[in-house]
Amino acid sequence: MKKWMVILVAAALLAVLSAGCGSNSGSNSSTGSQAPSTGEASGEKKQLKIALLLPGPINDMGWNASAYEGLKQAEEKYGASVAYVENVAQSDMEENFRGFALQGYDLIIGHGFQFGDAAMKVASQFPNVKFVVTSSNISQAPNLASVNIDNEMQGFVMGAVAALLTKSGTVGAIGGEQIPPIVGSVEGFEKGAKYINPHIEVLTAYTGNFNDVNKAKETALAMIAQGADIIMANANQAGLGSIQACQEKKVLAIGSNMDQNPIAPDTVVVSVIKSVPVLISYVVDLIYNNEFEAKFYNLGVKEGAVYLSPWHGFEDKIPQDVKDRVAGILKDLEEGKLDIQQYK
Amino acid sequence: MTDFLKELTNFLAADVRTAVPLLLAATGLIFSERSGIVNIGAEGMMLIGALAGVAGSYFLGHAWMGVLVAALVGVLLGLLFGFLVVTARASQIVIGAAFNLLGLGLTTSLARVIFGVNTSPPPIDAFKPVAVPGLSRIPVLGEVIFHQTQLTYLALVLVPVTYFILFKTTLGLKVRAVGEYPRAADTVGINVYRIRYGASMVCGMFCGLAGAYLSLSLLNFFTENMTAGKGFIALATVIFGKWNPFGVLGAALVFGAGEALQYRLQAAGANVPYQLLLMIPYLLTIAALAGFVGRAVPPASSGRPYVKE
Repeated sequence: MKKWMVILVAAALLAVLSAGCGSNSGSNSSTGSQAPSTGEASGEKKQLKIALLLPGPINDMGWNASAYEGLKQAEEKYGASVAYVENVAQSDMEENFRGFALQGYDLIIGHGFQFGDAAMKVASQFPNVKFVVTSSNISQAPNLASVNIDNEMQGFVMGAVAALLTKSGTVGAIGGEQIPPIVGSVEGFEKGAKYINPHIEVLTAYTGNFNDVNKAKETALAMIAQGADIIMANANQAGLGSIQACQEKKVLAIGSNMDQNPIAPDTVVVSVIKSVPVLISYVVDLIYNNEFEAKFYNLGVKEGAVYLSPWHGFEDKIPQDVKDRVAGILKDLEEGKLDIQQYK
Repeated sequence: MTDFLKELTNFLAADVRTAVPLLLAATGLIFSERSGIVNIGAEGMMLIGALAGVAGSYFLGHAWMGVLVAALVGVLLGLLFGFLVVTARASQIVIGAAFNLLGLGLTTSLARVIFGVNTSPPPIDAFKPVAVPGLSRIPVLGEVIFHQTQLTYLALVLVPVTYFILFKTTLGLKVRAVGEYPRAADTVGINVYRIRYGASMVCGMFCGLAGAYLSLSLLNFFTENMTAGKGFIALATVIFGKWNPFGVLGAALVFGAGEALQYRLQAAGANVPYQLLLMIPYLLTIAALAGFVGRAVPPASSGRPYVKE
């Protein structure tokens, strides 16, 4: 009896592990017309092998989901062979980097600044493999670079939109964990709102995690009770809770990272998208064009990494001058005429 | 003054909303712990209940059907748990931990199969606050207690019901006897295994309801790991409430108040590091356990498998 109990529990655990942290290697060997040859002399590109390490699940409708999308695009565009691992814990980062490096992957992307230390360690042992860490600013010659989307710029645009749309003069920004990309976005939001209206009241809060949907919802409800009439949440899947609070209380929400309008078409007025797909394809482009350098790439509106979603159902409800103003801000950011660092 | 009352009402309403999932899970845990089973797998069961509720409402088209599905799935989980720890006599802690992992892995996989990856949450029938005629007009309390969803009322009604069953009926006496001294209970003809199976299934049902409350009443969608540790706080709630339904109600409200306070302080721009505010509920737990409630004495045979001679 005892023995088969142990087997049963072990089996259950295994089933869970394979389901939960399942390393879904989606390496559909590409359907490229020609078998990838190694003939570099003939100018033919060999099939790139790209691996992506994610800190969360691919269906969070945010940070991880958009990276997954980028990976899929790279797969299609370049016929690259791709693999990904979800929910990579801090303690498993090194092993995951090393594992893919040993399997001969050309490019291994750690999706998030928290992969930095592990990448630096492993990169020095595999000089022929390119390592890239996103939302970080580290680099290490010859093979470790970081790419970042200018979070502050994204936040700035969201804050400016909020300030242009608020009627109460109070706007709210909710962050998940207090980590650099989230903090940058929340602080940028404050700057953007103040840029439009120096006297605006900006409420900010962090929920401390990305899972607790209800915490994000209650935080948004508390902000609405404080008078906020437009709220931005940058907290991965927990952000859905904030949008639901806005929907219930009939105030507006600003979407972050992805076009979140489909979640609540009557509530999400517009989203400021951080195009992680662009981030990933930018890196892959660099490698294909042999332009990869071990440095920090910071991408913004100019590179197409930050942009505004369509106004969807709000197209006719938002005054034209507001839309023009937003477009003007984006244009200034693109041309480098607007330096967000000077606003406090 | 009216501003203060309004703020107080908002605060207490948030308190109740936050307390109910803890209350439901903890009420179930009272049954199982009183019968001698410690179920640290409550978190996993809640998570499965949350998904079952959304799936039930999605496929069957009615929020109550979702609740029914969540409760049934909970009963089945309780049955499995009972089999593993009562009949197979596996370690309750190990099985509980396995259930938590199972809950996370299973719901993650199933949610993707059912709802797809990166699609907006599908519109489902969910509970909306229903005002109780008359009673909801009472200042402050009316809005706080009598303007909630049906599941909240159900959770509150189940508190005295649980108390009555546990302390005023023969069945309740049997449950408590089995948890305190199963051998003695056995010698007077109480079927220890049957009581423990039953308690485990009731516990599973309540955990399922707690999960459905999260996904159908507080919110109207499922996200991965949405319980975010509430199952564990429910375990602390049981200790804090001294294995008594009314004590647990009070404990859940204290935890809820800690959370609700924290939301407000942050939103109001209190100039305190937010990590300190996030600690409030947990500090309350420690403070309460350390002194306020006095010694918390668990049922004597809690956590021990019973071997019939």
